[in-house]
Amino acid sequence: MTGVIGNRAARVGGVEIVTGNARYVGDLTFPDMLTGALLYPDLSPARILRIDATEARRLPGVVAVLTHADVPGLNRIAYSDVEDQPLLVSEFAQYQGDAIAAVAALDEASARAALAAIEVDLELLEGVFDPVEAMRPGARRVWPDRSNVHEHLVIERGDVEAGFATADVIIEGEYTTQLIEQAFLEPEGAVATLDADGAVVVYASCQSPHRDRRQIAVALGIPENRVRVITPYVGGAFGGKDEVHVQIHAALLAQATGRPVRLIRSREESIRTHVKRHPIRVRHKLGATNDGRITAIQVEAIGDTGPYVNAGEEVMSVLAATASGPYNIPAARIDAFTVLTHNPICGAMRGFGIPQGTFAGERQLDKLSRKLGIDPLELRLLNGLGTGTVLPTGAIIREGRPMKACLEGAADNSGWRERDDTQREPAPHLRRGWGLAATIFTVGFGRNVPDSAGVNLEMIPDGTAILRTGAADMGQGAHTALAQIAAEELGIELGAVRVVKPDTERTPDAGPASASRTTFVSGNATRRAAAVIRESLLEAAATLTGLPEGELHLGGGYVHATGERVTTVAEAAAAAKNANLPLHADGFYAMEFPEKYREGDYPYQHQVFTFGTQVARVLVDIETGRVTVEELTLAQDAGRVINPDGAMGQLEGGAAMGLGYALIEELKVVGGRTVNNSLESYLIPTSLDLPPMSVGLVEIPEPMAPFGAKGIGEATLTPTAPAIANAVADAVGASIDDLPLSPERVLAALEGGSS
Amino acid sequence: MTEVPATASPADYAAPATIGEALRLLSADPTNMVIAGGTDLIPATRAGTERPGVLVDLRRLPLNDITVEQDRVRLGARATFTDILSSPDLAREYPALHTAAAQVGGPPIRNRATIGGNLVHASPAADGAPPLLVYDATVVLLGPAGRREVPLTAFFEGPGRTVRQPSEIVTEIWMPRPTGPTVSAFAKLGPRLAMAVSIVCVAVRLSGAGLDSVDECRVALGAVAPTPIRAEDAEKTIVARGLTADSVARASIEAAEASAPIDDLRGTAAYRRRMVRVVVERMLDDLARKLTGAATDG
Repeated sequence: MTGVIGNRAARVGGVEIVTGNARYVGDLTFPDMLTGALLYPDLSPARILRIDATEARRLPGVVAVLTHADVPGLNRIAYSDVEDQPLLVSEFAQYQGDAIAAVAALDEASARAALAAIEVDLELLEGVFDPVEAMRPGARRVWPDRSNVHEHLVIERGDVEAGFATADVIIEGEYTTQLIEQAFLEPEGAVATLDADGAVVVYASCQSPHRDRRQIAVALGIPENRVRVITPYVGGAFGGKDEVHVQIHAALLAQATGRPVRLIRSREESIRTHVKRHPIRVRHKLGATNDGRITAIQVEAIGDTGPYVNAGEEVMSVLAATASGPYNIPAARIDAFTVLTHNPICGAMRGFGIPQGTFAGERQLDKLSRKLGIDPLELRLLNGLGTGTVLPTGAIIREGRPMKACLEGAADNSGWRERDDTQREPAPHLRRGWGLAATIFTVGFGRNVPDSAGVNLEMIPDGTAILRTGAADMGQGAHTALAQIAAEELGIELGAVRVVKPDTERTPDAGPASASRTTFVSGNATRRAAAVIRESLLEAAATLTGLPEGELHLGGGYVHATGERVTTVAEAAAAAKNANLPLHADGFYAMEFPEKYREGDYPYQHQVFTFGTQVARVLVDIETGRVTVEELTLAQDAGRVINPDGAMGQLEGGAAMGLGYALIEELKVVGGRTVNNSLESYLIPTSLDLPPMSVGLVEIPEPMAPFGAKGIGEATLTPTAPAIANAVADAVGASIDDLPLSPERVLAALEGGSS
Repeated sequence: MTEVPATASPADYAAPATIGEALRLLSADPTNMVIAGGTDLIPATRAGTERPGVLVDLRRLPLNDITVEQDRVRLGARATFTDILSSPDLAREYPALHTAAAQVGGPPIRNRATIGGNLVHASPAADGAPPLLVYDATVVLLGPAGRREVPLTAFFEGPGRTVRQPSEIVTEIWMPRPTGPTVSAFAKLGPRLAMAVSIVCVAVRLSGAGLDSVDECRVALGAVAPTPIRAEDAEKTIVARGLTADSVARASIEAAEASAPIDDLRGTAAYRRRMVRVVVERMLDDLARKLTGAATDG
C-alpha cells in the first residue's frame, strides 16, 4: 500500500476553483455566440389557446424564436420510459416551469424583449394541488387520459396481520415532509455550438453527460454520434442536474441558427423549473412486543411528483425499498404511490426518497421507545439488522456489522449513555433534549436497472497517467477518489494522475453521477483498467531489474523489492512501451448481485448498503419556539475511506443540508406556484446556523467495492432531520411530525400537549 | 466587475463631486435616483421593480464620517454598517445600533450597505431603524429648497415610502448623546442566524437613576407594522410605573398591541405579535438588571 488510499488528498481541481481559474459553463464564450432564453407561463395550469411569435421574430437583435412546431425530433424530455414532459409545450402549460418558447438573440436585453413580445393566450384551468385529494375516485385529472395515480407499488414480506396480532403495542403516526430546493451554487446552464461538420457540441453543467447526449440526439432528430456533451466544472447539483435542463433547448437554438448559443437560467428560473425533493405523506403503523421487538410494520407513502413523472417512480421505489429502516422486521407491507398534481415537478435530490421515509420510521421508533420506556439506543440495538437479515425487498444483508457499529460509535462519541438529566432546563424558557436516528442507504440503482461504468486509463512513459472518466464531478469529489484509486494501483503519486472531465467523444460512459454509485462503480472500473497497466509495469520492471515479478511492488512512483527501491515506475513504463506491452486500458464494471433473484423478491432490490447514525442535542426556546441544535454527532459507515477530507466534507455538508431540511427550508407553493424563488426568501443554513459536529467513520470494507469503499454522499443527510425531531420531542415532551420544525409548529405542539 | 442588469437596460450613471451637482442631477428628472451602497437598488433594478433614469452615486461626497460632538453624534448618511461596527464610540454609547449593525446581512453587505440607504429604502424590517428610533434620531435632508431636519419618528410613511422628496438627499442622521445613566439593546428574530430579514426586531432604551425612576423609555419595533414604529404605550407604562415584574409584563403586552403585523413568508401575524411580547419582555428584564448596574456605577 502506497498510502494514497485513505490519506488526505487535496481536491482534484480544487486550486482552480478557489483561485477563480476554473471555467464553468457561464465562463465559456465563442465567436458570434448568441444568448438564449426560455419563456415560461405566467399562469398555470392552463390550456394554451394561441402562441404567436411573429412580432418577437421581427424585433431587432432577435435571431430565432422556436416553439413546439420547431422541434425536429421528439418533443420530449425522455428521462425514463415515461416520456411525458414536452421540451416546448403546445397544449397545456401544466406547471410554472414549462417552456413555451425558446429565443436566441444577440444579447440578453434583446432576448428578454423577444420573450415579452411573444403573444401567448392561456386559459387558466382548475388545478390539482393536493395529492391525497388527487387519489380519490372522481378527482379532477391532471391529464385527461391518465390516472392521477401514476404508480402504486407494493412491497410485502412475511405475515403482517399475524405480526400485528402478536404485538403488545401498536404505534400509528402520520408524517409529512416538505418541498425543498437543492440550492446548488451554479444555476443550470449550457452552451451549444456546431462543429465544422454540423455535429452539435453541448457544454453542460450536468450530472449525466451520456444520458443527456441521447436525449439531445432524440430531440434534434440526429444520430447520437453527432452529439457531443462536455461537462466542465459543475457548481453543485445535488440531483437537480441529473435530468436535462436547458441542454436540449440550447442545442435546438444552435441547430436552428447555426451559431453558438449560451442559455443560463437565472436563480428565479432555476428554482421555478428544476426538480425538487418530493413532499411525501407517510402513514406508518408499527407493532412491537412489550420487550421492544418489532413484529410488523405497515407503511403507506404518497409522493407528489408534479405533472410529469420524471424520477418520481424511482424515488418512491427507493423509499419503499428502505421503509423498514436498518432493522430486522419479520413482516412488512409497504404501499407507495407516485401521484401527479399541478405542483412543481419533483425528482432526484440527494437522498432520493430515503430522507422522507426515514423521518417517519425514526419518529415511530422514538414513539415506541417512549411508550415502552426503553432507551432509544437500546431499542435500535435490539432491533438492528445484522448479517443475514432479509429486508422486505428480499435482499439479504451480506455485511450487517456496520449498522450497530454506527449506533455504538455515535452513542459513545455523543455521551448518549451519560446524558445529564439535570441539564434539561438550563433556563426557565429553555428545554434541552437528545435525539438519535439510524438509517440504511442504498448504493447504486438496484437490480434490473442498467448500472455500469467505463473509464479509460493511460500510463505515460514519464511516469504520469491520464484518467478519462464520463462520471461528472459536481463538487462531491468523485474525480479525486477515482484519481486516488488509479494512483494507488499504478504505484504513482496522486499528483501524477490527470483527470479528463466528461466528454462523450473522449471519455467512456460512466452513467449518471447519482445514487451514491460513482466511487463504487467507476472506482471498480478504474481498478480494472489499472490492473492491465499494472501487469505491464510489473512485467517490464521484472525484465529491467532481473527480479521475479512476484517480489515487485509499485508505490510512490517507485518499484520496490523487499523494501528497497529498485527502479522507478516511469522507467518501468518506458520499458513496457519498448516491450510492446499495453499502457492504456479501458475498465468496465457493472453492478453485481451476488444473491440470485428469488420468487417474491422486489425486482429493483439493492444489495449494497451503507449505515449511519446521528445524535442531536438541541435547546428549545419554549416561548419563541426556536430550536437551536447545540451539537451533532455523526457516525457513518463508509466501508473504507478513500479520501478522509472528502468524507469529512460529505459528512458535514450532508448534516448541514439535513439541518436545513429539519428546521428552516421549505419552498412555499400557492396554487402550484412557488413563492420564494430567490435565495433571499428560500433560506438554507449559514455557517452560523451549524453546530459543532463530531464526526466518526466506520470502516468495515465492503468486499465488492474498490478497496472496500462505498458511496456516502447522500447517506449523510438522511439521519439529521429525524435525529433533530427526536431531540425536540425529547426536550419538550411533544411530538412534531411535520417538517420543517418551524418555531410556529413547535409552539403549536407545545400547546397541543404531549403525544 | 461590470454587471449589466439582466432585465433592464443599463442605467446612466453619474458620480458628482459636489452635493450641488448631485442635487441638480436629481432635480433634472424625477426618475433619477440616488445610489449609495446599492444593496437594495441594484437587485430591484434587475428585477425590474425599479427603473432608474440616471443613477446618482454619492460615493465621491464626504458623507461617511461618524462625528462625536459635545451633545450629539452625527452619522454621515453614507456611513456603512461596517463603519458603524468599527466605531468604539457607537459601541459604547449606542449599543443597540452597534448590535443591529452586526446583524445586518453578512460582511459583504455590511461593507456596502449604508445607514442612510437603510432608512430611505424604508423597509418595515430595516434593522437600522429601531435603534435610531430609541436614540431619538433626526434625519437631515438637503434639497433644492434647502436643508431640513425631520425627526425619525416622522420620517417613515409606509413600506418603501418616506417624507423624502425624489429631489432630496439624506445627508446625515444625528442622535443626542445620553446624559444620565442609560442602557439600551437590540434583538432580532430571523429565520436563520445570519443574512436573514427579521421576523421581529426590537430596540429598547432606558434612561434613569434606577428601577423606580426611569426618566425615559423607548421601545421601537421593526418588521411588525408598515413602518418601524415606537410602542409609546409601553414606554409610558415603564416611565409611570418603573421597572417591576408587573409593569414589564404590561408594557410587553402593550408593545404587542402596538404592532400591526402581516402574514408573510417569514411568519404569521399572530406569531409576530406574540414574539413582540416575548422579546420586549426579555429585553426589559435584561436591561432593568443592567440599569441597576449603570446607575450604581454612574
